[in-house]
Amino acid sequence: MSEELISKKELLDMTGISYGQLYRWKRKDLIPEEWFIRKSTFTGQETFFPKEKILERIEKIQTMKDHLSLDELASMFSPNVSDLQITKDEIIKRNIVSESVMNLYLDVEKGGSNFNFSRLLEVYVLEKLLQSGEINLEEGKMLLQVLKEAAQQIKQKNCELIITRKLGVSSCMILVNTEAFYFDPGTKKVIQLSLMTCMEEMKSKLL
Amino acid sequence: MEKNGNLAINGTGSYPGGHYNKISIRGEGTIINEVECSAFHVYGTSEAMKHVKTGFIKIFGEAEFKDKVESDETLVMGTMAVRNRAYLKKMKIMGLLETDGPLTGETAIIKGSIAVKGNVEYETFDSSGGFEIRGLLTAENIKVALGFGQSSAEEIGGGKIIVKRKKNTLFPFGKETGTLSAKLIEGDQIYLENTTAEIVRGNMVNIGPGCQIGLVEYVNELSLHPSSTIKTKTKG
Repeated sequence: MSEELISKKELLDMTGISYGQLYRWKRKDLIPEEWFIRKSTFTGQETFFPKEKILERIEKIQTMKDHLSLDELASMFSPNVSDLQITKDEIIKRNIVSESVMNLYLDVEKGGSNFNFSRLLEVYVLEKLLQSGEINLEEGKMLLQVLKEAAQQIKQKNCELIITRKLGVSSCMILVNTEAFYFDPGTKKVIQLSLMTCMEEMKSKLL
Repeated sequence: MEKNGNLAINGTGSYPGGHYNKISIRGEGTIINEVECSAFHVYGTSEAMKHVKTGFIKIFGEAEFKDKVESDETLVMGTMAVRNRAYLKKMKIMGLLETDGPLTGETAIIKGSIAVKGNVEYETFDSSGGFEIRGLLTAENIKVALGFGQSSAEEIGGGKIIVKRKKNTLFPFGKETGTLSAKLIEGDQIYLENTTAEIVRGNMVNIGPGCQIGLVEYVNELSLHPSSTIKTKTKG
């Protein structure tokens, strides 16, 4: 799972942003420190970025910076979320989660109709995967269990959700700050989903 | 723990933390727990063992912070040492500031000197003293006047970066002026004097007198003073 890297110069050429802007966004924590990867090249030290992530992030910043301040953007990208509270009806009304998935979630979980951030993320992930048809109901239930278990980690760290199937048996796991992982050849990876990205998507729907 | 009372240490003493209005230390004082106060003044020697959060720091003597420090306004005439990260929103350093972690804020005016082991992030960074930064110095506007000694930073990045020599007002006939050294300098608009750098990258790069640069990569414009050298330059 080694990521493709892009040098700072290529990045500036591709996106048309300036050094000043890049440093400004770094100062505002719009671009996480871990993405600045320093490597020595024949010209000396160079900074590289994970290509896909940084391009996606910069595109988001560029499209949203007109109607949001940099500080608002920063709070959107940071994974630790304030005490968000939202009701079931509001979630359905805003089209974040469909009614059928919502009912299913409440059925399994038997919780109330007020959602905090963790629960909203759980139901959002469920919606996303069920709607795309990538997982079945049973797997959905398993997924919820794992998400509940890892709720604390998910809020703070960079987590990835993986669902695999082997000989018709599926299993679900959450990887925390992973660099790479490997399976035996008989195992099929059904889903790989960055929960950080999910949170961002969700937050942009909430705003 | 008193809420919103003042704490004055006039002799020698150890005190608990908590909420105070104003803390002033004239002798030798140690504060053991976390503390939140509107002002923190040190005229003697002080030591804070835990996190300090305050509106105003004024140090005429010596102050050591063993943990994080947060302050809206900071004035250091003496010595301030922070063993962790410091958020000093508006700071003016006439004496010495030393931090072991990153230093962040909005406006920095340095007439004395700072030594930082992490990154320094400000919106405006204005130094006419000296600095030693073992990380990245980044600000929207970086203005450095080199008066004496050697200033250094691992990397410097920002919007507008201006480094100029400053005449020594005490000994106007001395030839000695300060120098700046950095591995990498990147910005939209860069003007340098008396600077040694491995790489300089920018849109508009103007190299003034007394510089030695390994590589310059510029986009729009490059100028070079005859007394300076650039080994390699590329446009693009």
